[in-house]
Amino acid sequence: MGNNREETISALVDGEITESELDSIILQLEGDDELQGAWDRYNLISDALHNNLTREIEPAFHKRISAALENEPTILAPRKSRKNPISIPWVKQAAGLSVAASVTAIAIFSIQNMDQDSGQHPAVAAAPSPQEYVRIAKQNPDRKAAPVKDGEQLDPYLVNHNELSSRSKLGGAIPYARIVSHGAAR
Amino acid sequence: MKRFFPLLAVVTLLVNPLVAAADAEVGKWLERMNQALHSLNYDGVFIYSHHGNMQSMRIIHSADDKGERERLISLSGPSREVIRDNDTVTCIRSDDRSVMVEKMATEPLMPFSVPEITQQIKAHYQLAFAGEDRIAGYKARKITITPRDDFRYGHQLWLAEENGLLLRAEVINEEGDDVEQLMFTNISFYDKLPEELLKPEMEGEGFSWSQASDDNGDETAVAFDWLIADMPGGFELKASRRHMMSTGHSMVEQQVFSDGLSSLSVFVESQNESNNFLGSSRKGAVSVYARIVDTRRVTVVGEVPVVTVKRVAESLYYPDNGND
Repeated sequence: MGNNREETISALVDGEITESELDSIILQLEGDDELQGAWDRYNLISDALHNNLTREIEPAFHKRISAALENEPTILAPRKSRKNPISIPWVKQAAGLSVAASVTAIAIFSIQNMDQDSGQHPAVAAAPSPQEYVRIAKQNPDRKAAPVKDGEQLDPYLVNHNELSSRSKLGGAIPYARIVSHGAAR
Repeated sequence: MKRFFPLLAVVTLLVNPLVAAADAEVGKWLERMNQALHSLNYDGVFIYSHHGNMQSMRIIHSADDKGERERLISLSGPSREVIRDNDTVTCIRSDDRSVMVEKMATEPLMPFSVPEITQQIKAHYQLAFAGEDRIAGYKARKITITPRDDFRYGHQLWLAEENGLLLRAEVINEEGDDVEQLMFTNISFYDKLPEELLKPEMEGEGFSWSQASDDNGDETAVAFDWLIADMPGGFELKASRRHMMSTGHSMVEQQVFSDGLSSLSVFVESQNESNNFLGSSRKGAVSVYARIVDTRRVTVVGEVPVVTVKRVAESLYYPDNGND
């Protein structure tokens, strides 16, 4: 199963692999594009977690990654775990499997992805190139929250907040720009 | 050890008045900015960006004996427009074919004292000049505003040397990254704006309208039966009202808290089907956190980090019910 091999790759990246596994995974890596892709991804994820990535941001990135994800909605999480996609990684981690840091990153990715496609599961796999991942990590500095959807559900609150608060503080920016502004999800 | 004390004392003596003087000077510029924002007639185009999204918008602002009027029009992406006059805010969204109208109180709910607010800002932010620059062809003075804790964002402001208008602004998060940017690329000032510039471009015919009821409810300062246990320091209650919003059918209770620069609103209403948003979200520098307390929906909105709106929402409680 692909996901066992990916776990081994994750362990390899995290430096938590036994010697026998090491020999076998290196043999498998040779000539296996899919596995090499996983190796790239886990390294990027690891770099993202350790803040080793560059700071450049390229404007068109959002669109491209979103298009790529739509075309190839490969789910990185193990197939078996779909019944319970959120808790499985944590259960595994608790059970001492070495998915460790890498899984935490997927959780982060899934939240960030909400920026582009609403409510879909994290589709981390098969991005065009490693360079792209740099962008996700830097794009949303405030990782805990997904940006407000384009829906107008929250707009009345914004308007009411703007209107009442502008009377009790200095006008910093032009707050209505936020309402006219359309989100990324179009 | 001991011999350092005199030096320290001298340094303190030297630095403190200087810092205080710079603070006062920057404070004056903020007051100027605030006045410019409400009193000038202008028509300009600016770039607004957040989370790697970049858009251009046009703003037309007029202030005359009829009061303030403002139009904001998106120039990129779906066409949208916000029109504000003294008592209404109208948002027209051609992409959703919807029009939203919110009624506003005609009189300020609370007296607005700019010097007092400047004092309040100084307590929670460090103010400094950061040199000169040129924005949209105008000479600009740059000001940095650094928060003293993590409950608020930092700001960088570029104000026009000649009239104090805000020409460029950046909102900076705790990691030093900008969450929101705005910059004029072109702006013209008028003594009096041509009237046709203030007419909406979109007719709104065949659009779905949501309108706040004319009955504005109790617009005076009112007391509610809920309290915030854990308001971050410096956010003072500035206004409270109970009124109809365009969202639902029941009255919404709203309280506004501000530290002089950043503010947040707490909305409490009965649950309704049209709004199912829960948890945290954000748009540019604005964070939102919503949760259900008993049967009521609590939504906290503010131009502050997510941690701040979350903390406020999570600590709302009803003292008489004995729950938290």
